[in-house]
Amino acid sequence: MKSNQPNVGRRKALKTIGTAVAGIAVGAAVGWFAKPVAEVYKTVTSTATSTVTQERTVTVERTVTVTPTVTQVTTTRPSRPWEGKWWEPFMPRPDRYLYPRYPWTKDILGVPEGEYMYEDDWARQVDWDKVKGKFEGKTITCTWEGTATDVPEFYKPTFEKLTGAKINVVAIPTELLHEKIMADLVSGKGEYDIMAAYFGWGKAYTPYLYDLRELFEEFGFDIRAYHPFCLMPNILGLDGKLYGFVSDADIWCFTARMNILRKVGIDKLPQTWEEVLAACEALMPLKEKEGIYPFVAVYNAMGFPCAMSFFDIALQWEDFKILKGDGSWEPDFLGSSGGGREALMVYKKLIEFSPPGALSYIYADARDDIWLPGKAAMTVGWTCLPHLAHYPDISKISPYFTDNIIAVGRVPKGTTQRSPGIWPCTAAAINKASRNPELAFLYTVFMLSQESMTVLALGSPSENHVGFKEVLADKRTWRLSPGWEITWKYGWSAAMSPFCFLPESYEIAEAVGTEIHRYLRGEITDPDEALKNAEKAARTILERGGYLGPRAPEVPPLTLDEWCKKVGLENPKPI
Amino acid sequence: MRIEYLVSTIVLLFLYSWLFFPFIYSIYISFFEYVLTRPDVFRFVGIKNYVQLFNDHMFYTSLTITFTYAVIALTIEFLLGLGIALFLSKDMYGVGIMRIVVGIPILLVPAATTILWKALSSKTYGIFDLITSYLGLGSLGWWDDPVLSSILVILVDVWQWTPFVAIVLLAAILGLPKEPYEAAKVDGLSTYTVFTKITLPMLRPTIMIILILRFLDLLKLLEPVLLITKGSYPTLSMYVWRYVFKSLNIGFGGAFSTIYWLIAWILATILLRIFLKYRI
Repeated sequence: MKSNQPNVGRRKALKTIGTAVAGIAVGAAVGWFAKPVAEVYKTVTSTATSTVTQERTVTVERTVTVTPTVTQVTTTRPSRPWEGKWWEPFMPRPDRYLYPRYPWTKDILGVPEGEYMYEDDWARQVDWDKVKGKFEGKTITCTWEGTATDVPEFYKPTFEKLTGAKINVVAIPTELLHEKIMADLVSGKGEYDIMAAYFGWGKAYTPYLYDLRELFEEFGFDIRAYHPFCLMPNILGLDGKLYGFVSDADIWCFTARMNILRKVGIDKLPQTWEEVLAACEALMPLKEKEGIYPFVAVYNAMGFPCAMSFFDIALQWEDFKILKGDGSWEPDFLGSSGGGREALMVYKKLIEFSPPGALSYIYADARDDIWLPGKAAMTVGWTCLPHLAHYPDISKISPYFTDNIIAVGRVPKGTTQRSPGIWPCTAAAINKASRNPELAFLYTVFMLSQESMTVLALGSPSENHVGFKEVLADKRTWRLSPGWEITWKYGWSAAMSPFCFLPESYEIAEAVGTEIHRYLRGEITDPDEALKNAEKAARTILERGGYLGPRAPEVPPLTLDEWCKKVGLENPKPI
Repeated sequence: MRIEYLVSTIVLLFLYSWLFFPFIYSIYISFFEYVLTRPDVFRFVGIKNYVQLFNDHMFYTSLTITFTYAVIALTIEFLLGLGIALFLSKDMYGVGIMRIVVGIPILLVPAATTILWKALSSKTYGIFDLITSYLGLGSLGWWDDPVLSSILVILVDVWQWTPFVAIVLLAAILGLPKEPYEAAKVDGLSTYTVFTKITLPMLRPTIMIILILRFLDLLKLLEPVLLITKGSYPTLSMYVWRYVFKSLNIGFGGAFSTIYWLIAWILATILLRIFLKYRI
């Protein structure tokens, strides 16, 4: 009996394996012949849109796929210099790029089909006749932050048709962005032609970046189209050179779901951190009852994220200036009256009111897992938080198709109220080692000029801030991206970290953030100790860089007003 | 003879370029101030980087965390691995398939394994929180809590590397001579005595190799720490990574790497000495 058993088992096993192999083969064959995800997505999209309005669908399909029929698209606009040109149908416009993706935005934005939003769009100022043929067959590589590659992908097919060039898009995870970019820049290999980088760390990049002033002049672009709060950290730096295009710029704002706050008797948007914390306390019963957390702090992981969040909160205290304020680079994170301490304690409480796991959030996870699914009542951060909350297809708290009400206001007040948040602004820069800087420049213009950036910002889940004054002041766009109103109205009071002007900026933020995080997670119980440790860590790096010695460089102006005076720019104050 | 020289030269060149040169260079660079954000500055600073390292409390924190993880994970992996190996060494139905299945986690990329476990422990869609909520314990913050995140980090490593321990031990068990077992059977020894007096002593060389390899491997634990806690509770390798690749402070990173290497080298030597002293 025993001797027979293994034989039967083997046969059975072989049969099982055979079935499994056949299954895998059939599965592989089905997979092989199945449509790629992108095609399925396109099919689904086109089917969905065609059921809405047939006439529009025709335009949509032609525009998105950029077939030759695109040239037949007509507009109802009065005559413009660019109209009638062969390249006009390629130009970004809401009805071509935004409405097909989000048809409901048409009614809210209110820009009719065939209409452009801005007259002096940079992309339409380029003489594409001259460009035609010049870059045929050439390739450039555009690297972008991993979660946001839809930005360079968005206009890539159109631009490739327009110029005959090829665009490679390389995604780099946020955590690796700085080191990857630095490695390429320092090596001088020029593998990345265009790179989106946080210009809060930009001083380390600038020796390797293309100075764009000549190209800006050649194409007649006026840099003053940008709001100066974007220019201050991102573009001009201290040497007067022009290093990049603003791709992501905003002012921190406070966002709340008023329908939730009203449940606990709060009718007005909290204005101060005290009010925010009181609201959090009041909302605690709802956490138990409905699973809605009072708050979600979105950027708290150890290192740069929590350092940035801390500074942004602490800047709301009058005595907190990051530096001592005596004209030296000597750090002071406590503040003369302990504003830093109070800010740190507020930050810790906000973490406590946030969902478990908040201490490792690096924005996108908090946004996608907590905020947009409607699991938190309040948040503070970039304008994408209120902006994306409006989109019904990605947000469960959209006000357009539910009874939710999203209210947006300035970042809450401490003893003062400054607009922080310009530390992490992103700009698209061009590598000095690029073999095709002009092509890289043109693609950057194409995707980041006024019209294209607005369309992209309103129709992209990852990039929704524009730095142009004209766009920020546009009330039509406020309906879709309410944070822009805050950015426009309060951008003038922007204050920035002095470290952004140093190549060691990222290193300092990492060191400071390590100590801040130790306090947030309870490893250090005394906030003063954490701040003193952070100061010491920053000091070590500053000392090494020669910023504390007798030959230390001058501390640059840190408020927008001072900076504008120094460089001779107007600081728009709309309120 | 000529082919022998050629082959040796290729091997030596490979070793020099990929091992010795970077190693020597990292020691060399540890005496310099060299930060990639300021590539124009490259100056000799003596042992300043080492002094800074020994004054850095995070160095001691990361050292403690690393050893805690290593000792706990290694103990669990060894005990579990041994149990699995003994189980799989039995002649039973389906054991061949089980031996293959048990090795699957080793084939996965550590980062992918970590992401998998991170998903399981997610506050919003993880099954762990679903179970704890069902049990009335509420939702746990696996990624933030120092104890829970440490458990998770260890769990990831145990899940991925216990099969390695099991498979190596299994190969050793299956290769053991039959005679001692036959003699034990004749003498009527109990299963426990056979295991402690015959199996375990004969497995000692393999166990020692596994312990050394796994311990050294655990000293460079990075992926779970990086991906689950985003570095909140840094191990040594996490801290070196932050200095070298995030802060781009190559000189300081070189000093850290050198000390890190010294620690690993001393520990490996101690373990080998024990190995040789007891002739196991």
